[in-house]
Order: sequence, then structure tokens, then C-alpha cells
Amino acid sequence: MGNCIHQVASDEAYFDDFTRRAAAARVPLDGSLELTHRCNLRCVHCYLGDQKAIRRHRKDELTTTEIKRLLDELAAAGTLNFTFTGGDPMLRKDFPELYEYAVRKGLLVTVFCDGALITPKVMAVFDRLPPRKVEVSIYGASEQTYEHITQVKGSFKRCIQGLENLKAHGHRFTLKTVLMQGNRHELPQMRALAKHYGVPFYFDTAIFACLPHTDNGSRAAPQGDIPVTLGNAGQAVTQFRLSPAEAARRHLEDPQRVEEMADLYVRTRNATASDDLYKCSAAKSTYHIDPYGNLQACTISTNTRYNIREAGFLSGWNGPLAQLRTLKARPGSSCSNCDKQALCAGCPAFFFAENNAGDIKSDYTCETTHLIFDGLQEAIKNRLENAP
Amino acid sequence: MNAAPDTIFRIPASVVTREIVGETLLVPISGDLADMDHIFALNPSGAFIWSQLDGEKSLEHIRDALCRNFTVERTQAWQDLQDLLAQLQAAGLVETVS
Repeated sequence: MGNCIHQVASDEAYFDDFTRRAAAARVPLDGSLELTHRCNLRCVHCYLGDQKAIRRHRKDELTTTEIKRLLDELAAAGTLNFTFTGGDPMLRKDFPELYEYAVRKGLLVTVFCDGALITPKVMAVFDRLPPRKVEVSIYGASEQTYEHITQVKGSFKRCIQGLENLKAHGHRFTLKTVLMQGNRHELPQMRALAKHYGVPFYFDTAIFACLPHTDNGSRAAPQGDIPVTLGNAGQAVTQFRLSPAEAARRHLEDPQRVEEMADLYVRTRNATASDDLYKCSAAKSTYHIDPYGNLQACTISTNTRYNIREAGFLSGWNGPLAQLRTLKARPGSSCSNCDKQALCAGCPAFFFAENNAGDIKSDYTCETTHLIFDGLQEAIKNRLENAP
Repeated sequence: MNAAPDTIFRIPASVVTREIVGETLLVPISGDLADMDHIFALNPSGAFIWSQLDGEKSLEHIRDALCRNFTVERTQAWQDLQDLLAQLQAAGLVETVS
């Protein structure tokens, strides 16, 4: 009967095969749930939109009972990796209760937060049932820069306190940031902060306009109750984003990242060209649910959503989300035959947010990707020359 | 050291069993094993043995059930059972009832 048990957590080959089989069978292996869009911060670039409008919809958020029922359903459907996100999910008073419920279902729970709301009550449940990972967003490495982005006095100190608490209690966490005009000068210091705590750090340069959600009047709707404020308007996005040249340069300045990207390109460049609109795992083995029970393919894919509050998760997963996977890009779509897709941050959801159409590329991500590709030439050449 | 035939084991509340894409996964949720570095998969015979660890059945009983459900000699079944239990005990994934 052979060896009956296998420690698989660090077995990449096992998980690659496991994930491939889950995708082939369309098992919803990875999911995320925004417990709330409410947040204790007021970040200038936030894609959720105006917090005053969002707070008016608090009563519409899924209840504790509804979320527990949903977690039952998600676990039964095959979800293994699960993320609580927001807003800041810890703004909900029932966060410790919901977190515990999810962990006890055998979900591998990750929590996205800003660190400031890790109260003794939250820490107590983390100590009893450790999170697989906590990902803390930071917006700078100094009070001035951090609070220039978050627009909340005292938020930097509270974030650092949260990090200190996580470290003191031995919990695994990661630091991440959205790198933009207002904090790019502190990238080395943010890396140093992560090094100080002995934790991984990564950054993203993707910033998009306020996404249409039900709590912001779907943004563009005439009756929408969200004022277009700094950071919400499409045209304001460009004032926060790094230029494509700088975004590419930032991605290329990390030698390890260069090797990873070169490897990724070499492995995927000959992938069969496809006119499938969605080429990622969204709606195939991954999904996202917003605070009001709307099931989406991913966090930013708000253009196709289906409310599962009444009919349940599988009604949406086997219905509209399955349909999404059959969508095709229009003939001539510039991304269909691109061999650099694995290097690109662009995707149908991003393109929809940017251009109101899932198959019209983002010039920003396209230019950035080509510049990254140019910078990878030597690493790619080395890999191809040394390939067996 | 081998466990005696009348030993009874059970699965502690700190381990959750998940069945996903035909795999039986053991997910520790508390204690030292509750991190991303510790997830265990069982093969079909391992999963069968795991399902028998209900705090009531003895190892002898489980061995006999194993022989009824898999093509395996009693001696080999006993050895496989002992090997798996030793690994489960070493990893803190089972508790001894008696």
C-alpha cells in the first residue's frame, strides 16, 4: 500500500498537480470574501470609493448567520485557501467569530488588513487558531508618507503597533504596498521594514479607478450616491500611478524577481494562443464574494456579479461564473496572441475597469509589460542558452 | 515501538479532514502544526485507516477492515497500519484513547 501519508505543504509538484486537477474539474479551490467595504483608512487611491457612501450600506452587509452558512457551503464545495479581506475585515465586530468558524471548517485562512485593528480579542483567536498568513498593507515607511496616502492621523503608529503585536505573538505575516507617486521614494525603507520584521515584502503598481459596486451607486449610475472624489475619478488614476518606465524599473531592480519573471516568460511563451477572454484561474478555480453576497470572478471583476444571498454559492458558481469562462475576446484582440501575458498585470477585469470592455487592453499595463520584457532580455537569453 | 492490537486512537479536534478533488487532506488548525508548512495528504488506504480512527475501534479491528477493503495480506496490513500510526503520532495528528 506504500507510504500512506505525505507531508504536502511544501511539495510544489503535488500542489501544482492538485491545483490543475481542481481547475479541470472546476472546483472552487481558492476564494476570498470582503467582510465589509468599510475601512478605518481613507487612502487616496482606493478603488472602493467614498467611505461615507459605503457606510450607508452597512445594513446591507451579509449577517453573521449568512456568512457562516456561506462558509459551510464553500467548504463543502471544495474551497481550501480562503481570504478574509475588506475594507478592513476587522472592522466587523464578529470578525473573531467568523474567523474561528472558517478555520474550524478546515479552510486555510489568510487575512488582508492594515494592521491597526488587531485588538487583543483578535489576537486571542489568532493565538488559539493561527492564521496561515496575515497580509498587512503598508503605504509608506514614515508617518508623513503613510498618512499622506491614508489621510488618517495616527494610522502609521497603529499599523506599526499591529506589526509589533503580530511579531511578538509569532504569527506569520507579509508586508505589501501599492507603489505609487506618493510613496515610491520610500520603497527601500519599506523593504527594510519588512527585513526588520523578518517577513516577505512585495509591491504592486496597479491602480485603477473606483470600481462599480452596489454600495457606490455602481459609480457611473445617474442615481449613484458616490461623489467622485480624488482617487475615484478615472482621470485621477494617472496622477497616482508610476509611469510605465518607472513601474518597469521598480520590478526589474530586484534580481530575484528578474529571475522569476524570466523563468515565467520562458515557461509560458509558447502557450497555445487563445481567444478565451479569461485565461487566468478566475471563475475556474477561484472566486470572490463582496460584502453584500455578490459573487464575482475576482476582486476587481465587478462587471459580472451574481447575488448568492438567496440561492446560494453553487447557483452562482455553476451559473453565471461558469458562463464567464465561455466568453471569447473579439477577433483581433491585441492580447489573444501575446506571448508576454504571464508578465502582464492586465486582465479582462483590469481592462473593464480601465476601458469598460474586457478585451480592450490597458495601454498602461501593455507599455509597462513591454518595458519589463526589454529589461529581461539578458536573463531570458541565459535561460534559453542553458536550457536542456 | 509498535502499538498493541487493542490500542484505540482518535482524531483530535485540532485536525480537520478535508476531501477535495479526490484527495484526503489533514489540516491542523491549532498547535505547532497550524501553519502553511503542515498539510498532509493520505493515499486511499491511509484515508481508509484515518476514517476508522473513531475513538472506538481497536487497531486489530481496523487491520481486519483494511484486509476486507484492500487487497493486502494481514501481516502487510498490520505493518502498514503500524507505520502510518507511528507517523501520525510523531506528527501529533492522533490521540490515544486506550
